[in-house]
Amino acid sequence: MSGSATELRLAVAARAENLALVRQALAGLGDATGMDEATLSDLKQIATEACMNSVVHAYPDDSEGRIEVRARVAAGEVTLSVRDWGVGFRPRPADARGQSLRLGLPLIASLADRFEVFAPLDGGTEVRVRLGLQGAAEPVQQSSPAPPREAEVAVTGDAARQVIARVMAIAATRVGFSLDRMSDGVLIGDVISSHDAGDFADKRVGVELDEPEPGTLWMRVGPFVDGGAQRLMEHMEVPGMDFSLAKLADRVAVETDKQGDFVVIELSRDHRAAGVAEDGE
Amino acid sequence: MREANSDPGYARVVAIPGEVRVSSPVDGVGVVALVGEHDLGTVNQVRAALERAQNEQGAVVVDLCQATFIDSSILGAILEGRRQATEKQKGYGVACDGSSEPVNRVLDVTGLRRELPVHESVDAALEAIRQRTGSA
Repeated sequence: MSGSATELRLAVAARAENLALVRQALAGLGDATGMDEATLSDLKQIATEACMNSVVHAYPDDSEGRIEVRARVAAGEVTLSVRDWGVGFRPRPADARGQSLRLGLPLIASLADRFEVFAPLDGGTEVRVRLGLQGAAEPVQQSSPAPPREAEVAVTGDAARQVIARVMAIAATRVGFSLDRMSDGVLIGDVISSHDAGDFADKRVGVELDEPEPGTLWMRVGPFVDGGAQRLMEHMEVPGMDFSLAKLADRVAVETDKQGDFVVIELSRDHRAAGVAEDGE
Repeated sequence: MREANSDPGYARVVAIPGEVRVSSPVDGVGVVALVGEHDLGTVNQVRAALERAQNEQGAVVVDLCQATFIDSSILGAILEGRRQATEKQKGYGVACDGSSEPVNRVLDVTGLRRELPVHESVDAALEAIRQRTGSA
């Protein structure tokens, strides 16, 4: 196949008998571009399912509408768009025509490497998919991000204060903190959320929460840009007093991993007031 | 539409219009064979054939061995046929010999090969129905 893109644009009336026509057009595109059989087969299946959605759901009451199919083969991949100008996706308790389309969208999602549904501003629905050429027989190596220990929150701008305060409050409640101890947690949460967002990577105030053992609230704040973790520690110092809010915690430490620096804070339910030495830097 | 010409690419145009064939190789069992490509354009025909076979014969085998393409509307019709067979306590089976990759793929991806289940031949489906109901 040449390095340049090959494109197909096809418009059909939204009628069931035109699904075979769409498949034939795609087969022709596959032949012309030397597409592997497995990818072509998946492409035809996806186009059929997407067009069927338009025929059955976009244009109710047998009204005839337009379906546009666009396919583009380039750079080791094929992209497909199926567009209609119908009523769009909406919840339906049951399909009036008795057509079982519940399998259609999951089938598209299973076959495509990437699957998106849009509601264009001028109405209707557009389904876009991407398939890697010669990759259909070899499933793409999927990597799912690791689950959070319990919860992770990252928030930008002015929303940080409200979001983190609420998340801290619910986490402290789940750990079984008293009201006093919860206040300690909220104070520390306030320090975190009011800290200069510029010290956080991507300017997102990030907090990961966990209960590593009963009655202990574990927080990992960050990742920070260079020096940001230290500045948060300094931010905990109460001006004019020889006291740091870090002393409300059982443990405060700066830890580093490949993402950057983090401040780890642990608060236990039965913390014995201030004076507990911090083992952080 | 362009006519086929000497370009070998055109020789690959192998669309076989969807056809439904109904037979009864064994008393009490209707075999509904889907030949060629089947989608929303033929689903009413498929659904009617399944219903007729069930009403006239009782047990039904859906034969996908000659099908070259099926979409989710056809899967829906097959599942609906199974639901009705279960309701009426009639035998029901699906056969696919694996000769069509697109049909194999859709049965595998949706998990229906195991769910239905799908037998490797019409004879195997008939035998499964006979063992379950004694009607074939």
